[in-house]
Amino acid sequence: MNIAMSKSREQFPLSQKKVLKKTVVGAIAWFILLGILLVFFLIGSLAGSSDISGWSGVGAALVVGLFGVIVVINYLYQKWYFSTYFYDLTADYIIIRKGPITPREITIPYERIQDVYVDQDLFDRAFGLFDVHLSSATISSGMEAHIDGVERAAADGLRNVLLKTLSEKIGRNRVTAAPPSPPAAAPVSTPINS
Amino acid sequence: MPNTEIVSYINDQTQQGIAKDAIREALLQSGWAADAVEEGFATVDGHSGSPFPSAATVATAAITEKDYPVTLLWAFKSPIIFGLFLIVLFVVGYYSLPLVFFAIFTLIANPLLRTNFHYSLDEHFFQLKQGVIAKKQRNLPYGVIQNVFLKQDLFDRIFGLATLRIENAAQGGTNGMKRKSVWTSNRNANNEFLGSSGNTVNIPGLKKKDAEALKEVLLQKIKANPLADTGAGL
Repeated sequence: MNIAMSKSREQFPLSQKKVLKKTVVGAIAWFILLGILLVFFLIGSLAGSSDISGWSGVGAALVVGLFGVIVVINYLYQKWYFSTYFYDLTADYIIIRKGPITPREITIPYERIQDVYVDQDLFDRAFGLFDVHLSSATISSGMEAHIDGVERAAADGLRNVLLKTLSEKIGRNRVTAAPPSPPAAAPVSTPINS
Repeated sequence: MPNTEIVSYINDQTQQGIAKDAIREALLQSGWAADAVEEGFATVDGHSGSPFPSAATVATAAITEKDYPVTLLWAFKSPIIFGLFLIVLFVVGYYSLPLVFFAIFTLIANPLLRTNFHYSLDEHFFQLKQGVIAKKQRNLPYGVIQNVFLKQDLFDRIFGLATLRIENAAQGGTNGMKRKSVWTSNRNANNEFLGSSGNTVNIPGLKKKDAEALKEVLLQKIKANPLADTGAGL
């Protein structure tokens, strides 16, 4: 599958472990959900009359099968999601696009960034992954603008590049070209009103 | 005749996102005459002494909804989705008159909203006019735009549409900030809203390539109109 590559993603790649992590998290969630269903079936088969208990066994098998199918589908979806995940730190903006079926793309000018931070949740720690968040002054940017599932080196790299670009763009000491100097011979004809 | 050195310097610095006041200051500091500098700015802004508009001004004439229109399909998007939902309900055996009335209402309201929606990207402001009965006009300086969204939902994906969403940090216009319910977050609640609401300006139902083009134009405008002070505290 073609991976949505950009300069930034080449330099600071998403970890392949992200797919694995998302699959495991999804599997655990479905395991709990279907586990509850399974318990009902098992109780039915233990306590119910003989003909219903037979059907409960079939139901239990179906639930286990369903779990397998869901995990496989989720894994494939996560691979797809991974391959369409796009982020690029261009000269002027940060562009983040995700979602294979319903794409969402956010573009933030560097000058508007309010915050850059890196965090990990429980599963991120288990897999050694990091999420790099950035946020402008809007609520939705906080929800959308994060690059999640990079390893430590890439997370540090991304953060450093972001902070460096930010201070160049919005710092007092931002780099500006020196203006051309007027030709020495040309007299300043009009007084400069101060 | 404006000095070409000044003009090219101004163009160069503007491209890099330096505010006009800062450019002016730098030029004056290095000893240029004030009127030469002003002449340079006038040339860059496209209203030099000449009564005829220069090629640059013609090319950058304000972009309006006529260039990148909200497609007619948008007006029928929610009736179509709602209609399908009602049909499914009907097949299942449920029937609700208020819901039918609501579908008919959107069928009438959406085309009206669409014809009353106007935007224009002029030199310094993103201008918006909207409203069928209650009118609203909004002028958004490019410098305060915080982020630009481009998104497609399933319907958009099938029909090649896209939604462009512009946000600033304003808290004034109320209902963008209101949560409709516990279950729908703010971003989902008014995803289909046409025009300005709270801190967002939503332009749904654009053709995909129109939305991309409009986004590019907008980003250029943001770059060309930086804030003098970003307030970043660095």
